[in-house]
Amino acid sequence: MDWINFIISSVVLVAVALIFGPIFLGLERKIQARIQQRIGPPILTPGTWSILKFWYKKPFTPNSPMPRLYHALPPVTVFIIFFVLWLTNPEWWGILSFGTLVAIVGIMKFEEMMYVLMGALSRSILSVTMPYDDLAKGALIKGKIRRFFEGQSAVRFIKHITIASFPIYVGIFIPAVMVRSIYVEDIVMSQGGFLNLDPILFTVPGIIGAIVYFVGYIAQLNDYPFTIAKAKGDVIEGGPLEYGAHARGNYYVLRGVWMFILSSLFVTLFFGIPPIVDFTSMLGISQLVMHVVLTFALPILVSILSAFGPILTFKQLYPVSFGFTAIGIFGVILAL
Amino acid sequence: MEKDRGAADVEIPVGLVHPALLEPYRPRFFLEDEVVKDCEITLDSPHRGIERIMEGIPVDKCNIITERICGICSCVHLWNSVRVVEEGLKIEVPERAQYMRVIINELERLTSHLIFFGHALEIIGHETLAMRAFIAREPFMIMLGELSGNRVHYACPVIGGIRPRCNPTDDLVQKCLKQLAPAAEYLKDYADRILQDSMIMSRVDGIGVLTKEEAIKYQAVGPTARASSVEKDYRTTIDDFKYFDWDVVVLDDGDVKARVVQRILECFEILKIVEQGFKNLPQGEVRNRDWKLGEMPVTTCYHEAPRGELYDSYGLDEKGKVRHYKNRTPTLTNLGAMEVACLGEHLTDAVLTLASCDPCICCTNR
Repeated sequence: MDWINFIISSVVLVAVALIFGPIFLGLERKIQARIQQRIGPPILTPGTWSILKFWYKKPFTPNSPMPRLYHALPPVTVFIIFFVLWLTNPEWWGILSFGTLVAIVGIMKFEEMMYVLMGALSRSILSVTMPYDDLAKGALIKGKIRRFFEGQSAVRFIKHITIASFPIYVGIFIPAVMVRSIYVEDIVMSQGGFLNLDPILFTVPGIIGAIVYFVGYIAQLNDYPFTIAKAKGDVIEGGPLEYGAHARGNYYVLRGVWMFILSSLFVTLFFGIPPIVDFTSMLGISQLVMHVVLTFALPILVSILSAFGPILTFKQLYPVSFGFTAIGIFGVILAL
Repeated sequence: MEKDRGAADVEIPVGLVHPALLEPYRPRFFLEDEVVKDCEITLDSPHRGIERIMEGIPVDKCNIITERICGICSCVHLWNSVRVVEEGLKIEVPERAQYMRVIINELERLTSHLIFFGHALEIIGHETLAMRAFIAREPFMIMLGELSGNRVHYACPVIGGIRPRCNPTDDLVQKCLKQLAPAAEYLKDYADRILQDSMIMSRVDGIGVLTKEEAIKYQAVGPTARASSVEKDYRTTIDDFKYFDWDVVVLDDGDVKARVVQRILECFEILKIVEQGFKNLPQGEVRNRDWKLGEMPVTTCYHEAPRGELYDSYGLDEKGKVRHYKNRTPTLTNLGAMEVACLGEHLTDAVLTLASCDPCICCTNR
């Protein structure tokens, strides 16, 4: 194993994700603004420049029982989700058989759980602690536990993890079933080399898998219409509400990077183009460029769909999630 | 039948400051899992004491302050306050002024309903259609600006008529009539778009049902009551509206969808009124100056504000100064009715239900 290449690949992939992830945030806002017949912000403003701005703001102590842990969650999560990107890189495939879909799914679950922790640790002033003397008034139900709406968001995230994550996992495993292997290496190799591509996407199970993955992608990002855990109408933003200054910058990094990494995983699994870092040949450079270009597809589609989607409550979310999971299972059966 | 106010596990207070609440009020939701078992709303935190300010000031100054009760429905506040004096002192209003009061008031109602669509769709999470509500609203705002000189506080009615700057030239009337058709067309397309969107309809259909009995019991008013089969519209009792042919829109379902659809249909009735107003606008004076202020017993007037029943009541002393001023706005009772309507709903739908009565806390905390 070439450790130099291994380190260079890992570092370059981190840099690519950190550059393009925030751009996706801006792209999303720009597309939605255009659909809404607004000019919208410059593409770099909502992601890149905002993050830099937030990092240089005066530190802000959140209303949280454990502010340090609360602040640490986004950077820790960013570090952990980089493993999803690294595990799709050929340099990592040889290490302890990490390059499997099972490992990737495990890391994704960790990312989801972080939002539950954020919700549990946030105590915004907009709810229970608003200095307003209302306890003396007489609702019929008295003396109950008063919960911050971030706490309610944490409860919703648990439900969301349980239900709305199914489609993306089914979508991820359709290529594995087609190839009869859970190794990313086998899935990529089965789609031919970069110059001789035969993507899984252009098969019937592949198309079904891509659709299901796309729905799961939106659910993973908690974007409209799967944003019940962060519904502005009641829980506002959920757990991330108390992030301010540099912590908000870190949270934007988390969101942008996660957007990029899930898109990158899609390109790896469904196009057969992994994020290879090889600057010694034009072919290697072209492959990385092509990989990055294709990662723009999902964020653009998400932006368009989310501009037309209202927040689905659990009443709508359960049938939608189960419906797409069923479609995904049909794709799995076709892939067998 | 009374809705079940069962046992709750947890309380979630929301606000006073919250993105879903455009203005400050504090709903407390008592939940079992995510289902609302009870709801209590606390109002009046930013109370302005306008009724107290009115005591002892000249009535024309009082009317200026009355208009400031609200930014969205300023015209109807001013008009109703002016009507109190006109009824109390039996002041005649010229026909052209009556027409212009109706036109400005109905355009204001239209813009208010369009703000409601924007707000409701924002809470549902459909930002695109929320933005388009404001695009649909803009031509009517421009029209109001051209007719009255202001986009928000029109200051149109004065005692005995309207302010002279709200007296349009024939050219302006023709221009407004010409602007009305494309704006109405956009509004129709917009309404169709909302009603044909199955995802939006799935969020509003059958949610936050307020039955006719509940609407009557909790004194729901305006579009909120009319969406629950209560046929009550004060415009049918006001003299100025006798020149116009229009219908009171009443729906039966009483849910959030009915409250949205009621307002959509009402928008087209408003357009009918405005179009008739411009086409049949009589010539003549816009202000009767043949009156004198003096002692007036406490007089009460009701009007139909965009959100429902508006009540103004006051008397004048021998110098024409206001005494015993009372003002009641529709949100007070509508929100009370919504406390009941949201029972049994998911928390997110409960917030939508509260918003579906189009609460205006600025008026309520007058």
